[in-house]
Amino acid sequence: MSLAVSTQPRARTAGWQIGLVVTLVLVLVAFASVVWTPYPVQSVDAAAIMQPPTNSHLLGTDGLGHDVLSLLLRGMLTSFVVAAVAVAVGAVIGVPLGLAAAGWGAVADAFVRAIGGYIAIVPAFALAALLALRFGPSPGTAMVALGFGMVPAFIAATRATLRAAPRHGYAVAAQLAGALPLEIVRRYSLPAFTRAIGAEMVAQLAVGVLGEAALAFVGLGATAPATSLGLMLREAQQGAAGQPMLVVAPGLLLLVIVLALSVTSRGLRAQGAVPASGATDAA
Amino acid sequence: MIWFVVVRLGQLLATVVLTALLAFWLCGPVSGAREITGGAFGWLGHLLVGDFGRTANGDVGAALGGALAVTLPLVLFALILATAIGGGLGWAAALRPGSLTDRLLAAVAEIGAAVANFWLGLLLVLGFAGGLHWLPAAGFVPWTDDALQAIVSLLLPALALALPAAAAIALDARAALSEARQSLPVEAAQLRGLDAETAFRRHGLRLALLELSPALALHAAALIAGAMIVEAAFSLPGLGRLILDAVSAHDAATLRAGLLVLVLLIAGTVFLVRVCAGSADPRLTVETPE
Repeated sequence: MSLAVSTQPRARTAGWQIGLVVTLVLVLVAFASVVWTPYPVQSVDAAAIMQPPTNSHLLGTDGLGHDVLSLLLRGMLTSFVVAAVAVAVGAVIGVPLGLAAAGWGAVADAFVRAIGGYIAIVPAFALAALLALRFGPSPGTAMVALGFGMVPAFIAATRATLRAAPRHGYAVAAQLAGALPLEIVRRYSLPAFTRAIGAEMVAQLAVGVLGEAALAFVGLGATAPATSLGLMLREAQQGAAGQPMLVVAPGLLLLVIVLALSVTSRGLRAQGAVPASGATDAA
Repeated sequence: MIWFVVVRLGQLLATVVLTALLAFWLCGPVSGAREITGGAFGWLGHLLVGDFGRTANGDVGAALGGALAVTLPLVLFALILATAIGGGLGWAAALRPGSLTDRLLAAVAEIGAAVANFWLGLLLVLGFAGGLHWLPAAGFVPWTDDALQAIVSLLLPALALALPAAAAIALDARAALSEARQSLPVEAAQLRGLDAETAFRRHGLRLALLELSPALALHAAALIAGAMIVEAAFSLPGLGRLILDAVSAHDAATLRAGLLVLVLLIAGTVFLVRVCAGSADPRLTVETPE
C-alpha cells in the first residue's frame, strides 16, 4: 500500500539481547546474595563508618558501618522478589479479566474496561498507604499495592492480543484451509498470546522494581532490618552529608535494572509483533 | 462533543464517589476526635458541603488546603515542563525517522524514562543545593511569606518530577509522530500536491494526537502519583507528606480525605486531557469498540 520507499524506523531490536543478558546476570547476582555477599549484610564495622570507597569496602560504608556493596546486592534481591510477586498478582487478576473482556461479549467488555479504567486512576501509592494504615508498612503490602496497579496493563495486553489474533492473515488462511477454531487457537493465537503476556510481564517487572524502591523510600514498603534500594536512599537522605556514594550507588543500580528490563520487554514485544503491513487488513 | 463531555463528567463523578466509599470503608473506624455520623454516605454528605472532619490536630480541610497550595503548583509546573520537553524531543526525533538524531534522542529518552524521579531529586539536591549552593536544598517557603521564594523552592522538585516523565512522553510522541508521517491521509495529501511538511502538519498531527492521548492521560496520572514521592525527597509539606504523616500517625480521618483528594486530582487531570484531545480530534469523541 505504501507509495514511497518506506522510511519507517526499524524496530529497535538490536540492543535487546544485551538487555536480556544484563537482566539475567542481575537476577543471578541478586539470588546469589542469599548465600554470598562480600560482607554479611547486617555486619557492622564500627571502625569504618561513612567511609568512601576503599579496597576493603569497594563502595564504602554507610552511617552504621554496613558494607554498601553487600547492601546493594541484597537490596536488589528485595527489588526482584517484590516486583515478581507484584507481577504475579497483577497477571492473576488482570489476565482472566482480559479474557472475559475479549470473550464474553460487549457487556462484559464494557464492565472490564470500566474496572481497568478505575484502577488506572488510583495510584499504587494510595493503595499502599491504605494497606500500611491497616496492616503496617511491609514488603507484603507493597507487593499487593503494586500488583493491583498492574492489573489495567494486563487487561489491556490480554484483550488486545486476543482481539487481534483471529484477524491476522495466517489465522484467516488456516480457517480457509479448514482448520477448526480450537486448532487455530492452539497453533496461532496461543503462542502470540503467551509472547505478548510474557513481554508485558517483563515490562511490568520494571514498573514493580521502580515502585518498590519508591514505596520503600517514603516508608510504605520494606522497613529497617530489611534491605531495599529505596530504603538505602531513604537512609542516605537522612544523613548522607559528605558521602555522595550513598545516594549515587543505589539509584544507579536501580536505573540499570529498570533500563535492562524495559529494553528487554521492548525487544520481546517487537519479536512477537506481526508485520503490520496488510496483516490486519486481511479480515 | 457535548455528549462526550457529559459522559466523561459522569465517569469522573462515578470515580470520585466510588473512591470516597472505598476509602471510607477500607480506612476503618476513626479513633478519637469527632466521628461523623451516618457512615460512608454521611461522610460524603459532609464532604459535599466542604466539611472534611476534624482530628486532634485540627481541621482536616485546612490541612488539605495547605498541602494543595504546595502540590497543585508543583504538579502544574511539572506537567507543563514534561509535556513541553517530551513533546519537543519527540517532535525533533520524528523529523527524520531513522536518522542519527532520532536514534540518539530515542536512546537518551529510553535511559531518562528509567530514572527514578525521587533519586533524580536527591541528585539535584546534592548538586545544586549541596555543592553549588544555588538553590534551597529542601523545605518550602510559604506563599504568604515570600511568593518568589516559594516558586524557587518548587523549581528543583518540578524538574525532578518532569524530566523522567518527559522522557517517557518523548518515546510515545516519537512513535506516534513518525507513524503519522506515513499514514494514508498524509500520503493522500501529498498525492494531491501538498509538500510533505504541510501534508503532515495538516493531516498527520491530529492523527498522532489520536494515538497519543490515552498515553498522555496515563503519563499525567503517573506524574501526579510521582509527585507524592518527589515531595518526600525535598521535604515539601504537600499532599504526599499529609498522606504519609496520616499513615504513621494512624489518622484514618485525614488519610481517607487525603487519598480522596489525590484521586480527584488525578481523575480531574485525566478528564481534562481527554476533553482537550477530544476537542482537537472529534474522532476521539465517538466511542468505538476498537
